[in-house]
Order: sequence, then structure tokens, then C-alpha cells
Amino acid sequence: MKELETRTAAWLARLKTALPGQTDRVRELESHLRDHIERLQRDGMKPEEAVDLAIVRLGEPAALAREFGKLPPAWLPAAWPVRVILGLGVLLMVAQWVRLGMGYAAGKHNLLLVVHVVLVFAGYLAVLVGGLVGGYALIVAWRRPLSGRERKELTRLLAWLAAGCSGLLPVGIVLGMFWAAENLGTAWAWKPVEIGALAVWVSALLLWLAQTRWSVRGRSSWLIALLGSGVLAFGWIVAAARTPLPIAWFCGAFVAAQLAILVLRREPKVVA
Amino acid sequence: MKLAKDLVAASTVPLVLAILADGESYGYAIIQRVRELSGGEMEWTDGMLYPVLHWLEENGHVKARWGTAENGRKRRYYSLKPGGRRHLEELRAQWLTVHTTLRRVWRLQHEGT
Repeated sequence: MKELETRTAAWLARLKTALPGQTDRVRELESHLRDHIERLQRDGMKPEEAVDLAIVRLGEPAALAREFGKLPPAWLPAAWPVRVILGLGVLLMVAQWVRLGMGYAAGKHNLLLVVHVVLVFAGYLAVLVGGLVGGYALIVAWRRPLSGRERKELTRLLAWLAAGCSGLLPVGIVLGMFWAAENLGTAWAWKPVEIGALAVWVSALLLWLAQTRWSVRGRSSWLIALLGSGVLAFGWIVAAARTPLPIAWFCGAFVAAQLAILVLRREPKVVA
Repeated sequence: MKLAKDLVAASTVPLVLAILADGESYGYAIIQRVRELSGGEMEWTDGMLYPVLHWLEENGHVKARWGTAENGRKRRYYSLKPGGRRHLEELRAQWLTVHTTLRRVWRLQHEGT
């Protein structure tokens, strides 16, 4: 009986390593293994033979992990912190829409300005959410290895967020330029808020390139996302405080760091 | 007779859904039921069932809950959702078409000889 428990525990330890962070799957497979061992013992098999046969039937942990790895990545990662981050992002966006919509209905805002703010805010949120997701992924990867599927799901989500920002922000910026030209006399004045928007767009574009074109994956891409969020946070704080800090230099440093990671970590294209 | 790997893989989802149409069940019991129904002809590698069950769950065909067995062990029980029932009906129609077509071809060949 002791041998049975030792062998089961060894298999379980290998399974936990092969399926990191997937407690439910581990528990379910362990339950299956024990059911089968029990059945074989009832049929008259010795405990150590029963455990060996049950393991062969169920499969080695590495093979099981490969089978689970074949599952297509889900659109929404299963990890609850990621879902909370996304949920908060959506809530913030809806709150902004309501605020702007009410302002527009009350005749306080110009339509061009409303659309500009909606697009820019959505782009900023995509970068902010991407940075938080990147930060989460870095923390988890520091504590335990991420499974292939988790990595795929995070990569896909970051690519979507980066694509969202890269697409929405330039449209928002251009609309803002039209509004500024009409109302402020100049389309672009190199103010901190304008430089910040440009820096955020460049950083999102770099993240999108990292994910989709240059095959920069894993920790490097999460760090790029986090730095992109840094550009945004820095831009927001400086713009809100209206301090005379040289925003272009600081945002430039964040973007340069992203670019450096992108260049250093890109995987060369394999020519067949 | 050993069934081709592709055929076993293609029949897994309809088999699992059809078994769950009879009521809630769990992984080990589903495998035992397939073995019993096929008279031992269909031998699954046990581990291959779980990714399929999880895929069905993620796609809204089945739902899962943790329960406790008579022996006190925790088990994950699966049951069919309305979407799974509809999917099963579609698969059933497809498999019946294949079955009918093959039967007709073989009957014609048999009559020709």
C-alpha cells in the first residue's frame, strides 16, 4: 500500500509540473487515476501493478499536457485577475461614454470633440489594460512556469489590445487635430498631451509589431506591454499636473526601452 | 479489430455527448461506458478524453460541477447543456448520413458480385 501511494504521489508531482496552475485538471486526473487503481485492485491486481497499469492507461504527465496544449486558446483567458482587469477597462469605457453622451445631449460638447475623446480614451484604455495584463503575466511567470495555452491566450489578448489602440488612436488624434485647427487656431502645438498621445500610439504599435510581426513572445512582450502602460501613466500624470517636466524625454525613454527589447528579442524569420 | 486513430478521434465528441444525453457522468465512467457499449472494440487512451471534455465545456456544450462520490472522492461531473443537445443532433444527422451512404455502397457492391 505504501508503494502505491509513493508511485501515485510521484506521478502527481510530475503532473503538477506539467500542468502548472491548472489545479482543477490535476484534481480531475488524479481522481480518474485513483478510480482506475481501485477498480484494478477489486479485480485482484496487486497495488503496485495496479498503479503502473493505471498510469499507462491514463498517460504520462508530459503526454497529457501535450493533449491539453492542443486545445485552441480561448478568446478570454481563464485567469480571474485578467478577467477583472478587462472588466474594469470595459466599465471605465462605458462610464466615459455615458459622461460624454450626457455632455453632448446637454449641448456642452461638440460632436467632433466627443468622437475624438471616445477614440483616444478607448486607445488609452487598451494600452492600460495591456500593461496590467503584461504585469500580471510577469508576476505569474516569476512564480511558476506558464502553460503553453496560457501563453497563447495572453499573447492573443495583448495582440488584440495593441491592434485596438494602434487603430483607434491615430483616428482619434486626427479628429482632435481637426477640432484644434477649428477651435484653437492650430492643429498641432507639441503640447504634453499631444506628445503623450503620439508616444502611446508608437508604444502600442511596437507591442503590436512584437506580437504579430517580430515573434517577440513571453516575458519580453509582457515587458513591452508594461512599458507601454508606463508611457501612458506618465503621460497622464504629467498632462494632468501640467508640470513643465520634459515629457518628450521621459516618454521617449520608455518607448526606446520597448524598441530595444523588440530589437534584441525578435526571432529571426526561418527561411524554408 | 483495431479502429483507425482518425475514426476514433472523429467519433469522440458524438460519443461523449450521446452518453451525457442519458444523464450526468464523469470522465472515468464515460470511458467505461464506451468500452462496454463497443464490446471492448473501442479502446481510448484515457487521458485523451479530458481535453475533449474541457473543449466541450469551453464551447458551451456541457457544464461541469464538482461533486463527492460515495467513497468520498471529489469528482468532476459533466452534464449536457441545450447547446450540447443541439450539437449532438447535428452530429447524429451527419453520422447517419455517412452510415447510410456506406451501407448503400456496400449493398450495391454486394448485389453486383
